[in-house]
Amino acid sequence: MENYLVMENVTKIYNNGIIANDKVNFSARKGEIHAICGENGAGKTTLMKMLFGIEQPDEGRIIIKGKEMHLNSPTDAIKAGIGMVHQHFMQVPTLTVAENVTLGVEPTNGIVFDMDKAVRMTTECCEKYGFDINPKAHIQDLSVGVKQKVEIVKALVKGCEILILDEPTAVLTPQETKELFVQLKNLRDSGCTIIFISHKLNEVKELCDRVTVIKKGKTIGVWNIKDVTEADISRYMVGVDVDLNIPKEPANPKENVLVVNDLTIYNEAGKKKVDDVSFSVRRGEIVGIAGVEGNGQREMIDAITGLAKYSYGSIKLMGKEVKDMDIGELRKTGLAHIPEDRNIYGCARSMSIRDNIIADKIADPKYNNGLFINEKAIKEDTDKWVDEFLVLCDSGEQLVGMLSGGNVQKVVVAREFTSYSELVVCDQPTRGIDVGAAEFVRERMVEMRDAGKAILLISADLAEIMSLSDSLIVMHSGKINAYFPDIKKLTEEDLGFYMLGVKHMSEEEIRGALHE
Amino acid sequence: MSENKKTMKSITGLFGGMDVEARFGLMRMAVAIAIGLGTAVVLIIIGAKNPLESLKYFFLGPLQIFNPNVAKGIGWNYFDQWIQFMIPLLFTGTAVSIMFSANKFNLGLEGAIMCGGLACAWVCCLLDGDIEAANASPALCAICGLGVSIIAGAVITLIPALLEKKWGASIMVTSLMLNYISLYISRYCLFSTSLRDTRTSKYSWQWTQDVVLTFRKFMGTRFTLRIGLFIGIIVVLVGWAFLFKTKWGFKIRQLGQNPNFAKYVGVGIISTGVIVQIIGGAIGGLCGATVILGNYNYYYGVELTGYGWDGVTMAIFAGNNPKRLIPAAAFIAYIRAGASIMATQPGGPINELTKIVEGVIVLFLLAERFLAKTHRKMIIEEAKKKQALRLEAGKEAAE
Repeated sequence: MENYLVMENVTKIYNNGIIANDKVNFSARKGEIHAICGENGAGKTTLMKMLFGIEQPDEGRIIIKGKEMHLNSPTDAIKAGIGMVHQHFMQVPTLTVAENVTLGVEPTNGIVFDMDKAVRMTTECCEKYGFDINPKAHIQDLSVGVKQKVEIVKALVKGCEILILDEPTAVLTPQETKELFVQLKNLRDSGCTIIFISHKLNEVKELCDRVTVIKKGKTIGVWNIKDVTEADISRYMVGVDVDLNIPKEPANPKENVLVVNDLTIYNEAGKKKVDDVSFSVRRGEIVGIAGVEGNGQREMIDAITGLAKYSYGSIKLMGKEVKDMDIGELRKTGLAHIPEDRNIYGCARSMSIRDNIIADKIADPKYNNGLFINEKAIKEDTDKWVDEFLVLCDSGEQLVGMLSGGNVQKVVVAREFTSYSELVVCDQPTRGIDVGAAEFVRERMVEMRDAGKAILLISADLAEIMSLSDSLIVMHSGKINAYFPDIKKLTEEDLGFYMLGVKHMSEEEIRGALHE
Repeated sequence: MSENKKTMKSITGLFGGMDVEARFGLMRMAVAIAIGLGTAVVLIIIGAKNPLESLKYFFLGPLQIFNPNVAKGIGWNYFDQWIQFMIPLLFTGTAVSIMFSANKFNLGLEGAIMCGGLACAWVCCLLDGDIEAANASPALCAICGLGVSIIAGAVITLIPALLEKKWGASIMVTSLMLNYISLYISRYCLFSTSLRDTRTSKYSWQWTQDVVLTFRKFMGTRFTLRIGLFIGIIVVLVGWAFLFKTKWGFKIRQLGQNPNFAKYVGVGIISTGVIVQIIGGAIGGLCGATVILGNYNYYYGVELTGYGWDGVTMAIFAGNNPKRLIPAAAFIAYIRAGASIMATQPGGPINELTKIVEGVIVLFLLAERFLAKTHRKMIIEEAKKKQALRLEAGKEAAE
């Protein structure tokens, strides 16, 4: 069935004036895995949000099984047989798998929730499609890989025939990814249509039957996967060949800038999230931190950047204990920080680009005379930085909320890389931005390193972390599980084993992370 | 990219240099005001015995600078009434704009106004009242009164701020309750302390013979000069400069726009939050004193003034930017003066009419979905225009 699902001339314009989709055409057959590729910001997610009823198209039609559909909410979409697995799972951590899976279609026993029936429904579905999940387990005790399976089962239980997966492998280890692919192929063979959004082209090539490429909100074309190579897809996506290798000289590390000693952090629920971690970051090196999400990286970075307090141990920046400092003092001591979520911490969307870039430097005597701010100096410098960091905008007075994600990230980077820092903490610095912008940010990080700054990099993108880091720390269940002073010999697969905790390094080797 | 910048500037039409949001904001304001005034007209036509006459008073009354009757000792000077209504709006609008800019919804301005007025009155009675033969000059009296009122207002608004800081008590709730506490403090002082004039047993002692901040028959004319207006304008201008031209104001706005971001770039969010409330309260106190010294020579604070709420209306009108407060205050004061003049005429509708007009306007300004379709249309048009221009610029660049 060629026209099982058709999206025809679909246009979506967001309130900030960005044309996310411009007459996009997309169609999928029954029983195929269809990839949608495109740079971040190309409009893949928007297209899928319209298919799942989260956004409504301004123009164009959505036709499912020959019938035009108006999907005004996810409920409509679910009724139409569409399921979506989001990048961030929509689950209630304190409930069981069965309860989560049947949310929205709760079986009842009169008026009471029927737990037995929920378990039965979940088990049946799991058996039918070959998922191995314990329906009675609590979500909070599951690993990321299993949580994702729960998310898929959740969609299947509701009778979904079209399953949308938005970057499903971003949080998985190579081993978990392999397992997921087997299951997705099973699903396809049982007649389910799967739409797979990813910018990992090797996965697309391995898993999918066809691929649609979207670029700057427009459809570039549809290909059978066997007719195109990864390089072809990449060229269609970007328009030019992108070199993923960042040229950089070997690092030349000097003295310690950040020293973390025996750091232990309990979360609010009293659970130990970071367990006796010690390492240091030196001037002139990029230290990477890899790990499956939820293994203590978040808590550790929040403690280092002053966003949260820590329980035991010490963190010293430029030789000073940071425990009682507020973020203002931390920044004065030499911290710069690209936060994980640019929209929560990284910017004030309703303020101008100028205000956002100058935000941390406003107290500098250069920018105010003690009473009034010096608008001229601010304008001069921020305009210079806007140009230097290639922020695409009408002027520095434009509101940050009017920019695309990649450009917002460039504003964040412009602010943090121009602050008076010694240590730059880069937390997912290229998440959700297009390849060009990502390359730009990465090059800047290497430049900062060469200029003698200490850089701490956290990234879920293994290719990024392996190409940028000079040395690498792997975290597993709150501890440092491995330390690679030199990552040249490390393979992605091996890294996966350490991230999953299958392999461990000796105490001796791990202690190497802390330089005297 | 510089090519791009040039073309972007050339697409601005009627409202040169404005982006979609600013244009839409203006349009929305205009439509809201039109609906509000339209409602007033309809109500006047329905309710007035002589609609044409009433409409004339409502729309033109406040422009009458000299009322011939005033010379004969009857009635009001209508223009002066407009100014008189405008003064508290300038203060309270600034105070609320500053507090709301930091997302601190402290509604304790009423209380600050009350306490400011009370403190001022007390000082004036002590310095120059007829309690005991105190005889300070009116100027000294005014300066001390205004100064003390600032402190009183700041202290009273500091209470909810500290309660939040210390125990996380909701500012909105504590500040609202504090308004009533302030009111009863005022009543207590008036009825049960030495502030009360034992002869009248109703008001406080009187201070100087004249109202200190208002000069009637200014420079020999029948014009009334109200110093309060100038103090109010200065407060607005200083408030604007503080909020938009100083680093403290910058931090306050950061806090209001995104508290997470403010924390992350190193703004002391707790101290900044407390400071804006102190400033708001101080302005509120000053407002109370200015109103007292501009209109009375005794104190009689037994009811809440309602000025604090006006401040919220004004801040909404001005979008928390004090720069826009002067026209906004002038507008609201104008329709209030117009309505009150109209109400004094025989057969005129009641003056609460203005509350309806204000309510209608605020309702439409705050209703998020109001004109949403037009908004979408404007956005889509603009986006397509920009896209077309980009394409053209691209072609030119290629050539």
